[in-house]
Amino acid sequence: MRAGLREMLSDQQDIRIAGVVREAQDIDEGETDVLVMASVPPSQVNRRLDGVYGILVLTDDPEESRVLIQAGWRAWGILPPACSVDELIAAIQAVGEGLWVGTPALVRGMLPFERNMNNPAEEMGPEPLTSREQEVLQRLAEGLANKQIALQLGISEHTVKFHLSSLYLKLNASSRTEAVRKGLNAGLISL
Amino acid sequence: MSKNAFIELSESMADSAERAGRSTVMVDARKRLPASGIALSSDSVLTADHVIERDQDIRVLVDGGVEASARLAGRDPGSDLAVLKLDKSSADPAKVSNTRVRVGQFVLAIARPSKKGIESSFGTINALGGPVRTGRGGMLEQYIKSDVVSYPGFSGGPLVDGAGEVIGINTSGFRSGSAITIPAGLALKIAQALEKSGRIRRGYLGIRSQTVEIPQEARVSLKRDQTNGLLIVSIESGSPASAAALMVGDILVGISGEAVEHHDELFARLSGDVVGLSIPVEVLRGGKLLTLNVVVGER
Repeated sequence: MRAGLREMLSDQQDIRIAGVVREAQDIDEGETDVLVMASVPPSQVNRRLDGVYGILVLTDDPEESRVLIQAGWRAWGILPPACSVDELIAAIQAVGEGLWVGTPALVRGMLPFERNMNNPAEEMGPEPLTSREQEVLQRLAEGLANKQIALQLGISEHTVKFHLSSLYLKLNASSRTEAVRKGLNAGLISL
Repeated sequence: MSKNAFIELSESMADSAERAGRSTVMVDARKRLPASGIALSSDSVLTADHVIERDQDIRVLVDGGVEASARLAGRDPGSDLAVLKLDKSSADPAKVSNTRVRVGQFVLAIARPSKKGIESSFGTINALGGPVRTGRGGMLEQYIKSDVVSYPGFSGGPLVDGAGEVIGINTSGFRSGSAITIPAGLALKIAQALEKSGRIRRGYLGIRSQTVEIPQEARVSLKRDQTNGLLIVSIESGSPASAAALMVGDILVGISGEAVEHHDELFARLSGDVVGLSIPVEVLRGGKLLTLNVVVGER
């Protein structure tokens, strides 16, 4: 994972990798603006890191976002480990600017204005997918990357990502695999 | 272990790396760090689909420093494999292992991510498995999991055994930062299809379904130990399922005599080999087992 992250960030001119460590105690607070945690959950970081501006966690567990809020980080982000290079870079930059950032599936439960689970509208079930979202989900099940999906549907990659975000929200999924699994189980994908 | 045995082990691993390195190539098809590939013949290379980020100006560097231009002959994002054709016969084809791959055996991941030469990473085979849904959402029929470190540029390179023979192709394309190996047999089968047709054909029935538990009383007619099936909730108009008179409410329980309990199993049965063929599909209808012949369409 560490080697993969290094490769993903190596070309970025405005992001410099200050260090790669295995243990929280090895973090150089003076050199670190944004801490990216890929294999250690933030719940295991027991010491204060006052010198670090923000933290970005790669995890599929939405509970880790609760840990981040409770720990009092001024800027934080949470993304699934299978995030794209663009998402990773955008998140690091956003956290570096003092923002909170994350995928809807990982943060929605943590937000105070999240809809009440007893809301009758919620009990009617998930919001139906649009026909375009169905087409994107179908191609997700075939393992196509965003670029291939965009080519097949005659839309931009940016639009594919927009539809993916909507799919994750509607299916309450935090990854492509989870979206496909839930889509199959809900009878939304044709085989 | 004696000192000599350690030296012998080390030397034989270096020999394996050198042997495999002759057929391991550098694939330069993206803006950032090049990746690796495996020579299938003197003028064709198998690599990972996700490292091919452009259609033009693909360069391949073979052992010995010869550089060739390459064109994309076929690609399959679902299995993360792509085949390149070189403009000149310059590669040394890889030797594929025909010994059984076993958990615990020593392996080497070989790569050529730069002009400096080959690189390697040592490990053991941790698990053999499949089918598995990948991080991209697609399905991989089989996989090999090892603890080799997949450094940048290792995708597309071979996983080799102690003899330096290829047992699979490595890729980190399914989940960023984490690698998996596609077994050689599966990879070669896909490569052949890609060279022939440019893409992978996938079978298609035209049904949407949900996993359900088979009612106890209906299991009697199955005559096999099977807990689940796929309840058909929708049939596409004009589809192979429609033509074969499958109905909404049928529980699909088997294909060609093999049980189907989950979507992943149905997906695995609908491989490119069955496109155009009439295959027996078993369904439970009203508690009774029916077999309907379906001519599999192509997605």
